[in-house]
Formats: sequence, structure tokens, C-alpha cells
Amino acid sequence: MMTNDQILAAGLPGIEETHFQKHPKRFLNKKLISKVLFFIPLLIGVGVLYFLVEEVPWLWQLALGLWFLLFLTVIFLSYKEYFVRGYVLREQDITYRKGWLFHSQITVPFNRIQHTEINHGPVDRLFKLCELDIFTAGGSASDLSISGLDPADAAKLKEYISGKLSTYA
Amino acid sequence: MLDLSTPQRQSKKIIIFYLLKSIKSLLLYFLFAAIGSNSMGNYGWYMTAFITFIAVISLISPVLKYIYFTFHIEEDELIIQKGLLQKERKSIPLDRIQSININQSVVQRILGIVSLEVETAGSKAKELEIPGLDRFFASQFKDVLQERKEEIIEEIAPITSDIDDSAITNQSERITENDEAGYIVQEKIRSNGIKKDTTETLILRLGILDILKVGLTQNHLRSGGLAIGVAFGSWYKVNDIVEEYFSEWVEQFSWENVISGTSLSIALIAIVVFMFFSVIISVALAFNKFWGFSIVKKGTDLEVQMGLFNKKEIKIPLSKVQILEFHSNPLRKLLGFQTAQIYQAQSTDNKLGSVSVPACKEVHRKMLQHLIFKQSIEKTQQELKCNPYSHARFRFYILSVFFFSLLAVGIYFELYLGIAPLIILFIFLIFMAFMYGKHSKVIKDDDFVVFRKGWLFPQTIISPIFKTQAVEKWRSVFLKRRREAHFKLHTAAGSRGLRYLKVDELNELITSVNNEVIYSNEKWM
Repeated sequence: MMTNDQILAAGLPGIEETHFQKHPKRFLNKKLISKVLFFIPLLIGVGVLYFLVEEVPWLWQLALGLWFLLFLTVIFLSYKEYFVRGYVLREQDITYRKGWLFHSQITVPFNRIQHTEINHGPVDRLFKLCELDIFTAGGSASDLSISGLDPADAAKLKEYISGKLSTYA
Repeated sequence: MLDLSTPQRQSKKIIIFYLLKSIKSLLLYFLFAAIGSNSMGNYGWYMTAFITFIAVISLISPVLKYIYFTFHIEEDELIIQKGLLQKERKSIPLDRIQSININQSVVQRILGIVSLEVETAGSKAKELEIPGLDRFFASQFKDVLQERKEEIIEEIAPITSDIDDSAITNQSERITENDEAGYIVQEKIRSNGIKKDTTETLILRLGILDILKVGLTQNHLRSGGLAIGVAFGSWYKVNDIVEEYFSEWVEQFSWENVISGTSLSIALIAIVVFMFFSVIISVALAFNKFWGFSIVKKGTDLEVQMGLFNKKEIKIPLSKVQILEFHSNPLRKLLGFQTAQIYQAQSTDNKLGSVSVPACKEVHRKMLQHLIFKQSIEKTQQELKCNPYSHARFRFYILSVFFFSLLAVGIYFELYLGIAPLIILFIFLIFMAFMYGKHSKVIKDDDFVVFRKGWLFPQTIISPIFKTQAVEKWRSVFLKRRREAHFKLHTAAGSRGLRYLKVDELNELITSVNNEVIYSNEKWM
């Protein structure tokens, strides 16, 4: 028996009541470690100030304070950010949300996706992570880049999306 | 009909065009050569030899460029080949072509050639340009491309359905019958296509008076800025001459005098002159850009022609139009017209994807909307209003950084005369932000998402829902508590959005837009 009930768009479920999928904990570690590694050379710079410009002690004190402040903010932001980042895969679309200070949530239906890509850089590989890029037509504003996925999950996601694409193309 | 199955060369005149181009760059070389050979003594000879070598190369290269630049149609692809040492071969599937434009710069005009530009959704337009074609040849070429493209697109549909049919019946006799039927279907479509092509509707043609109006109602501040640029640029050039003849007058004239009250009259004159020249430049620019402007609906395409010195012919398939915008300003409102902006799918260059139609009256507005989107905007399903207070607040935060520091400086130096206008400007700008927010909203009806933005410079942005690529909402952490968020609608022609909407309403809008996109089967690109 074939059914062909009318479906009203307004009656379809909203994204808000779905459960967002989190990234693996490794992703948080990677973020934090890479941020620390980024800040170490800057600390060395402060040390150089301490040894070289001895006449003006307030200079290195200021620099150290600034470094500490920046360091804490960046670490705090990346820590906070991890917990709001997540994706939802539904039957017909994919939604990704990210950012704590500037939070954004974008939904792309599968029938508007052009192609998908999996990328992983050397640092990503170290942490067994990879990035799934989803491209739409036109400008790059609506392209999705889901970084920090488990490679196995990413492959599955890509497979799922590609399968959907061929049925809609 | 043109035969384009074998590689074709451009018009021979292109050699002169290339030559002029290289001479332009050669001038610099000769300058260097002159300086170089003088200052380097013995080594100067080598320099001269080197320069001569380069000169000879750049004189020969136009000919080589001409010889090795060929184009032809092979099966369903347009193929452009160029280069001697580094060979390049570009093939563009004809059904991917978005629009075919004919452009003509001043130099090309003198030589009597035009450049043909093929646009696709995912390429840099400059790469797909044939710069030197005879006028007649180019327009024929354009028609051939267009025709072939339509044939291909229309062939795809009936043939695939035939295959399905024959697969089901699985009889060889039936297949031949079906082939015939398919052939007839194609014939019908072809004849339909020809019929469609003959329906030409003139949407708008601008006369001299219209262009004058457009010029007079342009954003004069922008052209004023241009005027200042030109004035300063040429000032340095004529400075010497001026100083020689009018040195006495120039010595008296100084900026301190202008600013101080003593020569207020000079300042006033300067402002009047500035305004005068702004208007003149606006009008001149409008004439140069929109001379002989006409927009015609030809079959399923829009054809736009314009330009005085640089002529442009643009062809946009109606189905590729993604967004239609109407812009206005107080002056234009007085005269009762708006500027329409037609956006098609694009990837990199913003300007190429859009065509502007100046001096749209209400009639033209409705006509454009009807022709491009078929349906008209019906009764509103959902209306989201911006929060004007949030707009004003944001403007306040941004401005106060500058305002309070300037205020402190003003008070410190006791420049109370300067503080008053500062405060007025500050309040005025915040008020503008408030009014912007008050007059901005998103409306969604059955088929469209419509943005209405702005107060003094109102914009109406219309985008069919099924052309949406993605929907986004975003907010800063400070807005979370206020339960507000910003909206962004991504289409193949870029993103449009509005800020400070209520988050619950926005969620509802996003869900309904997204679901309608999922359920639409229409081709959106």
C-alpha cells in the first residue's frame, strides 16, 4: 500500500529539540595543547625583555601581565567553546553549531550540498582527528567545516551524506 | 550558422590590441633603460641589449598569442586553447554556462572588436574570455552557444525518460517506436523553444532625461570623494604651473586660514565647489555607465545593454537569478523610482554576479518581479521585526569608544564650540541606528523570504525560498540573556541577513525555510 500524505512544512520538527553530537575529548586536548604551544614563544619574548631591559622593570612586568591575561582568555575561550560545539545529522539535513563568544548555528539541507571532503593535517593525525568539509554552491559563506572529528566517524558521515546526495541529485 | 567544430582564431585586429597592451608596459622598460644605461657606465650596454631583447619579445608575442589562441565547440563543450610554451586547454560544458556577456572597452571600440565572456558558477570569469572578436561574429557566436546550450538541456530530459520506458517494456520494436516518439517530443520542444525566443518584452529603456535623473540622485558623497581624489591627484600635477603664475595668491591661501573664521567665505566657496563638482561627476559617471541602457526579456533570458565608452551586453538566464533587490534613497523617493539589483549565482567576484537596473518605477518593479519569479509576493505568513533598541545600543557601544575619548580631549583643551556638534552627531547617529532597526524586518510568505532594511536608504531584498542554500543564526554571548539572535540566509548569490531578531520567532522561521528547501524539487541553480 502506497501512502502519500500531505506534509506541511510548519508541522515538521525544529532543530532545537534535537540532541547535538559532541566532538571527542581529544579535540579539547588538541586545542588546549596547541594554544599552550602557541603561547610559549611569547613567554620567551617576555623573558628576553626581563634580561635585556633591566633599567625599566615595569616593561617586563606589564608584558608578563598582558601575556598572562591573553593566555587565560584564550584558554578559557577554547575550553568554553568545546562544550557548545556540536553537530546534528538528521534525515535530510545537517546542522552545526559552534562558538561561545560568537555562537552560530547553520543548517544545510543535503539537496544543496555539492561535495564533501575529509582533511587531516599533521597535528590532527597526532591526535587521531580529522576535518570534514562540506561544500555548497556559490560563495564560501555557507560552506561547513566540521573540525575535530574521529576519523571513523568522519568517514561514516561522509558516506552517509554522499549517499543522500546521489538520491537527491 | 557558424561552423565552430574546428578550432577558430580571433579577429586579426587582436594583434594590434595585444600590441598596444605590451607597448603600455614597454614604456616603463624604456624609462628604466634610459636611466639604467646612463647611470651604469660600461654595463649600460648590457642593460640596453637586455631591454632590446625584451622589447623584441613583447613585439613578437602578440602575433604568437594570436596564432595560438583558438576556440571551438567539440561535442557539448566549448574549448579554449592558448599558449605556446605553457599550453592551456579549457573546456566548458555548454550546459554549465550561466551567462554570456559581450564587453567592449574604448580601445576595443576603436579597433572594432568586442570581447566575449562566458560565466559559469564556479570559475573566475577572466579566464573564460575571448578578447578579440568581430562584432558580427561575436553576436552570432553568442547565439550559437545559447542555442546549443538549450538543446543540450532539453535533450537530457526526454531521452532519459525514454530509456526508462524502454527498460520497462524491454522490447526492441518498442524501442524504435519510442525513439521516434522521443524524436517528435524533441521536435516539439525545439519548436516551442523557437516560439519562446520570439517573445521579446522590453522592460525598460532609459532616455537622456532618465539618465540625468539617475545621475542627479546618486550618492553624491561617494562621487564627491572621487572628486576630491581627482582634484588632489591633478593638484600635484598642476602644482608647479599654479605656483609659477599664481604664487602670490597661493601663499595667502592656506588650510589654517580656511579653518579659522577669518576666511569662512573661502571655506563656504570650497564647499559649494565641492558639491557642484560632486554632482557633475555623478552625472558624468551615470552617463558613461548607463548610456543607451535597455533591459529586454528575450525568451527565458534577460538581456541588458549599456555603456558609452565601455559597452556592455549581459545575458542572464531567468532561472539563474537568485536574489532581486530594490534600493532607494531620499532623492530617488521624491522622483518615485528605485534601483533594482539582479543577482545571479557566483563564486568569487561580487560585481560580475549582479546587474543593476536604475530608474525603476513602480510598474517596472512589479514587472521585473513578475518576470523573474513568476509568482508575486502574497500574504505574509510570518513577520519578524528587529529590535530597534538593540540596534541603537550596539551603535552606542561602537561610537562611545570614539565619542568619549574625543569628548575628553575637547574638555581638556576647552574646545567647547567643538563639543556641541560632536554631541549632536553622536545622538543623530544613534537615532539613525534606532530608525534603521525600527524599519527593518524579515517577511516570509509562501514562496519568498523578503528583507526590508533601512530608513532613509531603504532596501527590499527578495529571495525565493527554494533557492536557499543554508540558514544560519548567530549571536554573541551578550545576546543570549536577551533572547535575541541574528539571521543569515545563504544563497548561491551570497548571504543576506538582519540582526537583532527574537530568537523564538527566528527558530520558527529557520525551521520552516529549511523544511521547504528540503521538500522542493525545483532546480535552484
